[in-house]
Amino acid sequence: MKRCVWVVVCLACLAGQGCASIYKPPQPWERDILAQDKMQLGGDPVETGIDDKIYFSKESSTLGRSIGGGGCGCN
Amino acid sequence: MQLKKNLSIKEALAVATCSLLSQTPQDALATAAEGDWDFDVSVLNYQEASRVRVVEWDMKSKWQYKDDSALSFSIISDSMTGSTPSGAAKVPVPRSDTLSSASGIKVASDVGEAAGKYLASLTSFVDRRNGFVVDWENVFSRTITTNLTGSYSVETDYDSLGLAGSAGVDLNNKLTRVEAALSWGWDTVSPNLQDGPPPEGAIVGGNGISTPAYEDGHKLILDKGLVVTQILNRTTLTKFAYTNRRADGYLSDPYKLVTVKNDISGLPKSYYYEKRPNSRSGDNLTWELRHQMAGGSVFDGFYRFYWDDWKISSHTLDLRYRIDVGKSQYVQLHGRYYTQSAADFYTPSLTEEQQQNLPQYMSADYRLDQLATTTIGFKYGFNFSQFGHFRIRYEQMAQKGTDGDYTQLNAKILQAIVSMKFGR
Repeated sequence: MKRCVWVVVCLACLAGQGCASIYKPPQPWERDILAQDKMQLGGDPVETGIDDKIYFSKESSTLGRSIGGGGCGCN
Repeated sequence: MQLKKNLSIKEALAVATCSLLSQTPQDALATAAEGDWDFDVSVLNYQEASRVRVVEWDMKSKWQYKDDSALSFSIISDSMTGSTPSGAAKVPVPRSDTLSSASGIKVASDVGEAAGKYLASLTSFVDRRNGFVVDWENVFSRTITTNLTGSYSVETDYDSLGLAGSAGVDLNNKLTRVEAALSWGWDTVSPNLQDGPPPEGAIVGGNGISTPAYEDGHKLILDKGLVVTQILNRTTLTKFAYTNRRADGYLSDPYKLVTVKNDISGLPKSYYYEKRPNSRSGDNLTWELRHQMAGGSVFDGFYRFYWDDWKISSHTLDLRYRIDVGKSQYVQLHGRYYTQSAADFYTPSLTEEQQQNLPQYMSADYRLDQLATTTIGFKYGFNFSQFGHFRIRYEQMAQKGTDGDYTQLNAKILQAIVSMKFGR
């Protein structure tokens, strides 16, 4: 467990460093690309919603890309 | 004339600026930008090799108002058939291990000389799940939005009621969004067994199931989450999230058994209902990055680290790469890898010695085993009009456990989605 936490911390640091180097905040009028449907974080919600349910049913980790949602007596 | 021209440019700039400034990161994430009414229909065929099959229909209707608040209503209908491991050990004699019946535990009927002596290692089931979700997105102010969601679903043996709320605020000139979310769930387990839900850990006696009547099992689920979304540059977004789920109540699977094996023959000697702790707390840390490349292709990477007090920890890596083909079509490649450690009370079976001093908690559910899942998929999308979008995807999932009778699971996922935007 400790090793996992360290891996996550290291990844977060690397991610933070990486993010800092590419951080060039766009002006409000430069957000046309970010407003496109295909730039939606989480992807296609209909697709990822189904994926969350499949993997929730077949694996033991709870919560995926969102919280809440209907439970099921999944087999 | 010149004055009039300048005024016109100013007006145009003012309109454009207001329009852009009114965009929040939420807008950047939103799909319903152009229509008053969005409508999605999805059909899924999930098929495991010789096991479970699920056909699911989802329909979602969303009304978007002028102030960008939105009301949506979804209907879900699942049809579930097939068989699933019960936890009863496989018996190495020629037999039909699977029975056709409603959900529940049945005595194997075709085991030759052993007829009626052993329980089926695979139990078949037929069930249907119907549900709905109502969601209200409210624009509270220029930088604050709230969301309220209610959901209910019902199966033959399982009801789920949920309520979730979240509030998000845009900061840093709308480059950063911080969102807090809470969710409450109340699930009712009412297994399709003769005498009602079994007491957890009870012995399964004789040739069948004999348990005292028992009230429905309930579980209370509380989710908490904190999400930070950050725009990094013109083409890159990222999101960090921490979520926690606390569940209390009847957390055992009422159909799952644990087998005591004869130390010498290895054949089943007796069976117990599984028993899990009546509380569970699990935490998630997730990170997602989405980046659009020069040609318009989009890369999305998602990582999740999960850990809980059942001593399960897991890593999930999910990668998607979308390539535009012309102006109206695209393909997307998908890869996912998941690995988890086993729950500390997972046991594929018990020995006679262990039976003398039964563990406090025990389960042979293969999903609590140490396992890894690999998924690869392909998706094709097509914008058939300015307001219509069709996509279809095919994925293959392979799961491999470590210890037990059913360690291999292969599944095929086929999903088709049509989205329409009406109005404006």
